[in-house]
Parts: sequence; structure tokens; C-alpha cells
Amino acid sequence: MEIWEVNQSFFFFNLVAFAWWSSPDLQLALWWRMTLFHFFNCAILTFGPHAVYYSATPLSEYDTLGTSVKAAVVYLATALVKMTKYGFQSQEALKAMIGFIDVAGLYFALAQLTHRNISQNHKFQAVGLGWAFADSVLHRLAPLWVGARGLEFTWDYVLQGLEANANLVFTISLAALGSLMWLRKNKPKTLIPIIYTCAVIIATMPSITSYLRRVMGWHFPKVVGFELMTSLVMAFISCQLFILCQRPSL
Amino acid sequence: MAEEKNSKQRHHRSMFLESMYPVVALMLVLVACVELCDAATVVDVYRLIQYDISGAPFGSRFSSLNHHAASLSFQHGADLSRSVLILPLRELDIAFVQDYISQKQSLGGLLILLPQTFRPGNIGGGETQGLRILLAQLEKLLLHGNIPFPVYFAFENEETDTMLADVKKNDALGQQATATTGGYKLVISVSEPRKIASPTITNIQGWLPGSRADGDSNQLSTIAVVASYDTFGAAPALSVGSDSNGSGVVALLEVARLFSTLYSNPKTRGRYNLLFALTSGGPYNYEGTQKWLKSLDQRMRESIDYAICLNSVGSWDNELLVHVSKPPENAYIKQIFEGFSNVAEDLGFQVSLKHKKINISNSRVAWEHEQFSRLRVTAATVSELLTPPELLESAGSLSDTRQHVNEDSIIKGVKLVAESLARHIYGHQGKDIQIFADNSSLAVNRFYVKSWLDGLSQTPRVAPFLSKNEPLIMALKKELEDYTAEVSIQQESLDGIFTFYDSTKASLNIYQVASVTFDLLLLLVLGSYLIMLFSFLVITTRGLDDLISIFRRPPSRKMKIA
Repeated sequence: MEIWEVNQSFFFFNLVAFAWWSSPDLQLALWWRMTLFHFFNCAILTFGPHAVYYSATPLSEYDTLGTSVKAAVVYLATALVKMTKYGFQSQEALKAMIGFIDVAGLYFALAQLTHRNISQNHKFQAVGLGWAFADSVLHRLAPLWVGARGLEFTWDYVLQGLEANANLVFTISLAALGSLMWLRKNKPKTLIPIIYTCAVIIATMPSITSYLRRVMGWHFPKVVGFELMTSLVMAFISCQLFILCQRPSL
Repeated sequence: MAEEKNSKQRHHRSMFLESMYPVVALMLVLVACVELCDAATVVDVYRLIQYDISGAPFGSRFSSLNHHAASLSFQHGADLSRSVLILPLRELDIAFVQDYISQKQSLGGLLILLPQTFRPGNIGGGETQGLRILLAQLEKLLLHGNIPFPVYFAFENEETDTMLADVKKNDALGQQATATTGGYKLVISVSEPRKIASPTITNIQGWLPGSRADGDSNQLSTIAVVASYDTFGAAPALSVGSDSNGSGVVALLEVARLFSTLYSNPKTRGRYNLLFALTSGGPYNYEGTQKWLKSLDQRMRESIDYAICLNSVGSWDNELLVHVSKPPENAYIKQIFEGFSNVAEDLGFQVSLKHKKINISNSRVAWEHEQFSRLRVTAATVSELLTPPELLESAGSLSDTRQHVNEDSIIKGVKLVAESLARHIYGHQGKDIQIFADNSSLAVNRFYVKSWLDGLSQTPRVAPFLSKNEPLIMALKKELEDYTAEVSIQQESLDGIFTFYDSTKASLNIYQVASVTFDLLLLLVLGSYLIMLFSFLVITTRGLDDLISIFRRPPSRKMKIA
């Protein structure tokens, strides 16, 4: 293991041992420092997978950081567009619009931006990763910062982190399907409708979850569980579709 | 080629993370100073009173609280000095509390949960006499003890019930609540209590002049009706004193209203002046009454024929007592008492005379009329109480709520006082005339009595905590202004042996905290999840060999250098 890893784990072990064996007074004094512990836990749950994905896959070897950054910027731009659209339309039309704007933004990031010479395989992963990371930061960092440091313990932020994980899988699947739709010209005709259906399902995921929460009255843990399951299913399907579409081009 | 790329990647990554590490650490240190308080549960709590008598401390001496919650099911011999003990009134063990206070055992704090029925403004009944007695005992214990930890009262609600059930469960399992085992944390963040610099007592008097026949009104005699309106209890923010002495105040206001109606017409104006006084400082040996009397012009004081003091007339059935300090053989006392008993007979209940001598050497003033007697003014107290209350007792305790006051009793008392006064003023003693008959224009107004009683039963009235322009005082003044010709307010400072401290009401934040072990466990789970994710991704995208080579890199590098 690298030296910094050893250093960090050593430091951490010391901190824990010290906290454990110290007197109750000191324990209590460390108490409010420990509230940052929960924040740290939820932060690594929310943002860790992005870093792990980047470092584990060949993305890091081919230095696709630039692509991810560009995708994140495009995401922020679409978020801005969505915010300005808020005032002008009603609830239902708004939800549909949001899905559409998301897809449009992703299309722009995938197809329109000029990237360095990266294979399609890695392109969609990098774009999806950047997109999901920007989404997590925008929607989850602020509530996490404000809420998880408080004294009161809730499961909310852990659930939010799990949702971020599901969102990462969704975004990468959507990016994969997107690259299939827009970047690959020769696809087997039979698979095209399946690709489009899956893309539509993933794109409308936010409205599906809000429908479940509001109309069906599902609680947050149930919704997150549903999201995780669906994300795995969708990832599997997208993976299969990608592999199937890859064969003719070989 | 691939190896070079790999090492370059590794170098990049390690540099990046190494530079991040101190930044992260710095951030953590910087923001560790900021503590956020957003509790899921906030409860209103009321502090036990803190006061000194001649320098001797009483009551709860501390106000801020930041400890774990504990319940009575804790293990024997457990250290509670860093815990707040939550005691519901229903399960209170007086002996236990007494032990804790008398043996000066250290306790982080005490939170007493009262049933909702004791909340001022809550009309619903249902609690038993037993709880009231228990509450009275508890109050006495707490008021007369010197308690070195914060004591707070709160009303039971759903949130406190769930918290208490949880805490009991944890305690029964034998886990002592500390920073490592989680549970509930109770936080009340208020500043330390300070002495109230110069508490003021405000006396309100209303003067209703009689009709001057030939001479001027200065020669007319005066009859005074007096009631003290302030209270004292274990929790000053809850001390509404419906019976002691809300009932007296209401009775006085109604008598004033009735006589103002009579006196408004010159033809029915009596040949006596009427002086109505709402005095403060009642629980403190009637200091307000004494100051008020001393402030009166001497001629005015000498013109007072007699004074009727009203104290607790709200919950009696058949017998009302007239307490006097002059011997019953005294002619004036006889006259007054005869007047009362005649009226009482007509109204269908009984009055009894009780004589209690004043002990000049004893500074304790048991009844309000004693302050008059000390200045040689004939006076009597009409009350339902058989014996005089002890110092600081029966002056508005927690159990003195609206539910136990009966408007009918007050109305009967009003009739008694008004009729006997009227018969004396208009010279109808012994005659069977009912001036304030029901269904007449001079009938006692039940709604008036009820509405004032309801209002007073929701207003805590502990004198040191009332400001000079307190709405209550303004309201009483305005009411007397409606019924009397001249109203004056006298404000004095409450000196003497009593000192009070502020901070009577606070907000309790209840935090549900997770233990450190939970956080560590979560960290472990997350760490292994990320490692598994990492391995999974490496295997699927780069193959198993790559995964193994990641962990075999350092030895291969060493071999390369060698």
C-alpha cells in the first residue's frame, strides 16, 4: 500500500484508540467532534463510488478526467436551464420537461463536445461519471453538510448516499444507451426499440420516484431500495445491449 | 510501455491524494468549531424557582443542561452525575427524590414530566386526587431544598413518551448512557441565572367615593376590599394560582362592578367610600399590603371603618371562614360577623369565625388582615382555608389549576361580601332584603366571573418576574378604572429577605444520538463496500490479473530497483 494510506490508517487508529480509552470528560469533549464522523461516513458513501469507479476502471489510465469535467460543466448548465424553467410551467409538464432537458444535455455532452481520442467505450463512462458526480455534488452536498453534522442522528443521509450510488449506475447506463443511440450508426434493427425504451425509462426515473413518493406514499427507504434494484437491472440490460451492439462493428 | 504508464498513473494519483489529505484535515479542524443545533424534538420546559431567603439558597441553582437522558430503571450504583433523570409524575417516588437531595448526590439534572391535565388552560379533567397530593409533596420538597443541579418541569406529550420508553429500555439492558453507547441527549442552552436586581411589586387601588350629604366626602367613612393577586410556586412560569388567589381577585372585581353600578346613580350612592385594592407581594408576608397601607394618607387610613380581605374563595361548598386577629368580643368584629352570618343564612351556607392572635415579635404575617391590624385598622379575611398557609405555601402551586375552582363558590362568596357590605352601607342590617338578587339588574354576572377566572388561570403571576408594565397589571388597572372613580398604581421594590433569580422558561432540545461504535461500524461497512466495488470494477474491466498485480506492485518495484 502507498505510504499515505499507511499514514492515514495509523492516524485514524490512534484517534479511535485515544477516544476509546480516555476519560468520560474527554469522551464528552470529543463528542461534538464525533458528529463530524457521521458526515464523513455519509460523504464517502455519496462520493466515494465516483472516485472508486474512476480509479478502478481503465478510465484513470487513459486520463479521461478532462471528459468528466466537461460533462460536469454541461450538467451544471442544464441544471441552470431547469431552474430558470421552474417559474414558467405547472408541475406535471415540468417533470416531463426536466427529463427531456436532462437527455438533451447528455446528448450535447456525448455527441457535440469534442473529446480527445478516446474510444467510445470509455467516452460514455467518463461522461456518465462526470454527470453523476456533478449531480451528487449539486443535490446532496449542501444538505449533507448542513444536516449530517448536527447532534441528531437520522438515517436520511445514509439513504441519500445510497441514492447517489443508484444515480451513478443510472447515469452511466443512460450514457451507454445514449452513446448507442447517437454515436453508433450500425445497430441491429431489432434492438433499437429496446434501446429507446430503456433510455426512456431511465430518463423518466426522477418522475417515477416522485410519483411513488407522493401518490403511493412510499417512504424514503423503500424508494431508495427500489432505485437500487432498478439501477442494477438497468445496468445489466444496458451492458447486454452494449455488448450485442458491439459485435457487428468488430 | 504499459508499466511506465501504470507507474505514471500511480504517481499522479498518489500526488493528488497526498495533496488532498492535509486540505481535508484542515477543513475538518476548521469546521469542528461550528456546532449545529437542529433537534428533531423541542419541548417547552419550566425551571424550578431559584431564590434566597436572607442569603440562604433555595431551589435549583443551575439552569443549563447538556447530558444524556436516564430513567429510574438505571442500575443500582450507577453514576448519574452526567445524566438527566427523567421522572414522570405518575411514577414518582418521593423518598427517592428526597434521598437524592438530602444526601447531596450528584445528578446532571432532573426533568419532571407532568400530565397534560396540569397545563394552564387545559380544562379536561381525569387525573386523580392522588397525583395532586404527590405533586404538592414534591413541590414542598423542591422549594425548601437547596438543589445543586437544574430541575425542570415539562408536560408529557408523544415525543417525550417515546423517548422515555426508549431510555427505559436501554437502561434496563444495563447500558449506561455515555458518549459511546448512544441514546438521547438533552440540551438546554441558556445563560446562567442572574439575580433580579430590584423586583417591583405593584399595588393597584381604586377609589369609589360615596355621596356627600351635607359635609364633604373626607368625613365619610371608608370600607376597603382587598385581595392580593400575585402567586408563588415551584415553577414560576406555571404559577397561575387559580384558587390562590385568582378567585379572590375575581371576587373583588365583581364586587367592584356591582357597587360601581349602584354608585353610578347619585340616588343609590351610599354614604360610605369604597376602596378596592389589588395588592402584590402576598406570598412574602404580605409586604405589598404593608407598603400600600403605609403609603396611604393617615387621614384616609383612619377613615377606614373596616377592611375585608379575600383569600381563596374558589373551592368550598358549605362553609366559609372569617379570620380575624382582634378578639371576637370586639364590637366591630361582632358587627361584621353578624352581618356575614345573616347573609349566609339567607343564601344557605355557613360562616364561622376564627381568631388568631398576632405575635408582634414574629415577622411572619399569616393573613392579609394582620397587616391592617398592625396599623390598627379593623380587618378580617374571608377564606375557605381553615388554617393559615405556611410561608410560600398555598400561593399558586402547580396543582392549583382551573379545574379545581368552582365558579359557584366564587359567586356565593361575592354575594356574601356584596350583600353584607350593602346592608351595612344602606343600613339594612338584619332586614331580609336581597339587593343583588339573581335575575335582577344587579345580579352577579356568572360570565364575567368565568371569563376573568379563565384568563387569570392562564397567566402566571409571580411578582419578581412581572415587569412594570406587565399586560396583566394594565388589564387590572383598566378594569378598576371602569368601575371606580380614581385608580392609582403604586410601585415599590420588593426588598427584605427575599432574592430571586431569573431564567424561568427554556426550550429543551432532545437529540437522538448514535454511539461512536455505530459510526465506526458504519465506517467499516462502507470501507469494505468501497473495496468490494473497486475489486469488482477492476475485475470486470481489466481482468483478475490486474487486480492481483495492484497488490503485488510494491515488491515488484523493489525488485526492479534492486
